[in-house]
Amino acid sequence: MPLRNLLLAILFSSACLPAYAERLVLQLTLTPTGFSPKQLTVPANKRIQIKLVNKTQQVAELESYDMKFEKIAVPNGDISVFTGPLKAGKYTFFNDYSDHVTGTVIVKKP
Amino acid sequence: MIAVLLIVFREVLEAGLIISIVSAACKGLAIRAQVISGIVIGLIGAIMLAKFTSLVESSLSGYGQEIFTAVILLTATLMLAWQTIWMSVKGREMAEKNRQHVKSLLLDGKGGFAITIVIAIAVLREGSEVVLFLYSLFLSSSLTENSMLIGGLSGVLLGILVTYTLYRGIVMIPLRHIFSSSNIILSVIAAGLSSQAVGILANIGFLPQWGSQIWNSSFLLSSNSWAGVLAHSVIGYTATPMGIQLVTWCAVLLVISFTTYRLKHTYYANKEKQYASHE
Repeated sequence: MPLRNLLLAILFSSACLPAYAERLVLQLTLTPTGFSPKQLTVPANKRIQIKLVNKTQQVAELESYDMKFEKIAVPNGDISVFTGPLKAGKYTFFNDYSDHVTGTVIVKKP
Repeated sequence: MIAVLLIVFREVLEAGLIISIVSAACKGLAIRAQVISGIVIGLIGAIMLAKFTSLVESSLSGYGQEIFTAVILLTATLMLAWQTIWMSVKGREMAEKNRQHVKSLLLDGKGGFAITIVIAIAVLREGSEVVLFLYSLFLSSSLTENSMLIGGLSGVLLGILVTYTLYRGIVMIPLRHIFSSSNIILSVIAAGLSSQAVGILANIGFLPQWGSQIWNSSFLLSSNSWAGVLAHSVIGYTATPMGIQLVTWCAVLLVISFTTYRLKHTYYANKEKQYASHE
């Protein structure tokens, strides 16, 4: 099994490297009328952390397909989702437990 | 009400897709008991998980949900790999025994526990979301909004109905074809689950990304589209994969096929040896 051992070795050795790069923290609030702000603007090629406070009385799930996160927020709870570095463009996030509650992230070249 | 129905329906269908494809791929094995116990265990787990979500979240310094999801995805990967390897060896044995033996082989059911776990995990993952969603609606809605609960429940029923239809549709394909391709199908699902898991771990910084977006195939199949979401839950498709996701996807597929190949090889080698010693 030399192939498997090699792959495992690569995987584990690189897992030990410190991957905690500095993150840009963005604040987001979920209100009964939707996300606030509805649009976030971030520079390209930066690791991002989005902090969400759920100010509604219902459980919400902050999800994005193109930014690859999915996290449950209980009422009055706060969560953080992590993504990036992102290339320039427009990305969308939404509350998975509600219809048509969406927001966008605009990624701009620095 | 319609919105609730659609949200619940989608969650149920996502779990249902995995269940029907895995069951169809294992057609010919007596796995009804495993499938049903998997669903039941998953549902119980989902209800328990829904109660403790905020607890999971606050533990592990805010990474709780990510680590939990990654761990159950990796467990499902291991189980599918085990099932694939087991089937490729056992399936061959079955083909060589007579009908009576096959029956007893199917009944002994060893190795089938992997299926139970895979299905339990699929139900657990989507089920806990449905339970949380319906539960919070139930708490926050007054009597007039009972229609929301009805919407939720009909969403569940509709999801089960579509899943079952889908399963019947897949099983219509003759057994011979399913058996020859089921290894590939199960391996691809396993690869997809593992690449989702490492994607989650790389996003929170526990694994390196090896490139955040190796390519962007949104123009072919967008991650936001209906088909993209289905492809995501079955083969782990994402329009903008990370390097580590691609590597993991290929590695899992390679390891499973390689192990299966080796085992088959050893099996035939042993068989020849047996014949030689009989003469």
